[in-house]
Amino acid sequence: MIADTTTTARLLKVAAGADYTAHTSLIGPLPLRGSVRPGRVGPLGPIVAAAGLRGRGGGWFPFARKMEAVAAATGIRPPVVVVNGMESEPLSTKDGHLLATAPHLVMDGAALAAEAIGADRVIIAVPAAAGDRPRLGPWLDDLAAERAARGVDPVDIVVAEGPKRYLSGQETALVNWVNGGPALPTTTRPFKKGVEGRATLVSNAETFAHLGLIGRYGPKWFRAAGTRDAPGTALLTISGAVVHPGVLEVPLGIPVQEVLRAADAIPDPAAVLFGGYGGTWLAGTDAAALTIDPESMKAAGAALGPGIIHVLPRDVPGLLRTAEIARWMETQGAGQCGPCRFGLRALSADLDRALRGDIAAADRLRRRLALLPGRGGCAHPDGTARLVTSALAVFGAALPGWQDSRRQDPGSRLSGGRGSGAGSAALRSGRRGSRVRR
Amino acid sequence: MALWFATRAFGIVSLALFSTVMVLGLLTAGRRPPVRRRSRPAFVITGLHRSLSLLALVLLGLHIATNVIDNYVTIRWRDAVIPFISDYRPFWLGLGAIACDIALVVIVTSLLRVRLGLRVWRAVHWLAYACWPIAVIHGIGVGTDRKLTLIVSAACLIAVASAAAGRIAATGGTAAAGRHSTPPPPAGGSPAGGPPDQGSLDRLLDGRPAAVPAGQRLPGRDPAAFPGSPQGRSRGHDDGTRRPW
Amino acid sequence: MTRQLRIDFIACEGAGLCAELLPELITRDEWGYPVVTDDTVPDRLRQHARQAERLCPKLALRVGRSSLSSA
Repeated sequence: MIADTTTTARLLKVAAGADYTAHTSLIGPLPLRGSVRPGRVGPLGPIVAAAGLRGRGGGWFPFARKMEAVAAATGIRPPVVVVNGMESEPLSTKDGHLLATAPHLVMDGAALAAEAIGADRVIIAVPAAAGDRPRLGPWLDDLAAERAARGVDPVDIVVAEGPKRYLSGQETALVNWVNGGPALPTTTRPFKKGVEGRATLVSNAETFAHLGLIGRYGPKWFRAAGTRDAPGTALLTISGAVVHPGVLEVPLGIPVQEVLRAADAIPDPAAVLFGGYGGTWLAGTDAAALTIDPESMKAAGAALGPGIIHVLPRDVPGLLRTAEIARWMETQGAGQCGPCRFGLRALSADLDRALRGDIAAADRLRRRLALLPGRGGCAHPDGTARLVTSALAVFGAALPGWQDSRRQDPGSRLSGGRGSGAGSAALRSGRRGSRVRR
Repeated sequence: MALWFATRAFGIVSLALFSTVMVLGLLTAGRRPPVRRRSRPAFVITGLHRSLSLLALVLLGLHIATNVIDNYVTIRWRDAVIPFISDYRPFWLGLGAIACDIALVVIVTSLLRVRLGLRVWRAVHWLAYACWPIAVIHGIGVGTDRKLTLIVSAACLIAVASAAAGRIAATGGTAAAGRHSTPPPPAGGSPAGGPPDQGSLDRLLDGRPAAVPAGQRLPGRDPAAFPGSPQGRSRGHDDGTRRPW
Repeated sequence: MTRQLRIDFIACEGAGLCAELLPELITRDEWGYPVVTDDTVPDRLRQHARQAERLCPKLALRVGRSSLSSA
């Protein structure tokens, strides 16, 4: 058993792989607490609320509140739990790594959540073809079958393999695909009407892993690490100009510097990308002053997202890299809304032209960026706009004529996400967060 | 006698109005790529379509009322909504009743469109394509002044047919669903450099490595090194995706 | 009680009737899609907002009741 409650690495310490016996001898059996009345959250609810667990998929939403919302929205048919292991941000590998090294912990958490809200099924969604990464689907299937044979879980656990596209991990798109449709976002909120029209609890795989430990060790143990508003540990994926790229588990609130040191990043990087392709660039000096937690990042105008940290190599111009990413993000749009179909394409084109010295394009870019957020079918255009806006803030000096065009329009303010003015009213209409939750 | 003229007049005008409504409806229907600047506001056509249909309904009501009130032939109110039960020309009048019923359902569902939702409303609204030809045939079959009715019906038919042809010819734009392409890879750093130093972070906070029960040998963090680690196996659909239910 | 404008951006096709009928609150971007400049509907515009809601070809515009965004 993990007796040491101040242990930093927790998820990565219960990595027993496929071996269920090793898993339970490390941390004990699945702590089931009995069934629950429909519409209410079982005994696990207050425990999770006290622990303050927040979703690890990018939204950082309080998990206890999500469980309550799903329970409250449950009708005649029992709710469903969906474990989001799609991990469609290309810079993230933490979920695949977690599912490969501690799959039983993720399944434990999902089973506990299912029991707490009275769900009758757990669906684990992983990408079908993962390129160079090992294919998780059939392997997880076998593990679920083994657990079923042992009678471990109170519910069925099934594994589905979804298409590998950027939006497949967005929770409404994932539910849409599970229901037999395309992996494209919808306007229906899963907690109200998800899989088969039932109330559905969708959350990131890592969130369920934490739940698996909270269920055993309690809220005080969980809060021994992390900050008051963001307790516990989190998995990060470090990439870029670092000697040791990969997955790290850190207590939330740890300084970014420590993380860069553990990965052996280049000293004084020019810029660091947080949150992935839909995230934010920060100047190296600004990044070094931050701590890894959603609040401090937000205050600095960045977003932690699903724990992605990418250090810009010295010989790669940030704007060029951003233009590459923006062009790819354009191809990943759903094509269901104006900002996606037209806005992202124009954004890419303008950025390319601006890089070649077209000042009019730089002007258009600034104007169009302000109009993108909060008007899409999902937060995809928001993410790309945020990325480009931050790139211009960090690397804009390198853009031909950028300083001149900015001087001509001193009233303009590049807002990285929710800003005041034209975009903000649209932002309030209909959607809670501007992050694509995965 | 005057009532008889009134009935025919209301009938013909209401048919002409409903035909106009059909033409306007055909002009607004179908997917069109959004146009930034237009010579005429779009709401005019939609608004006219709604208003004229209500006006046409009123005239239809007058057409029915004058018919019932007129004692030259015995027609009751219910003959106007229940088809084929009338004493006078049951078949042709019955067609009129069918058209009237459909028109009522279409218009009422349209008035409640916001509440009913797009799918239900659209399913019912398609019945308009059945309603209009039935109304035209009713007019030709039941009317005593064949020539006028035929001329008006022909004009309406040409108008509606041209609008319908235009609607069918207009191709809907297909949205680019997104092409499959590989994302730009993260530059710098190679897996050969090994995983990041988790231990340094562990040691940072508690000064000693994390406690591990004696005798437990934890596998390395490289997923491929696990016993029974996930192997590439082909299972499921051609595109690789799989929903096992 | 204030009325709030809400747009279903997936249903929206950029037809632009809403911007024609409610120009005080909605404009169109360069591709024809709505930009809500102010989502609170004042009483004097309520009738126009309801008409825009009725005439939207995709029923994408809704005039909601509460001033709090729905969960």
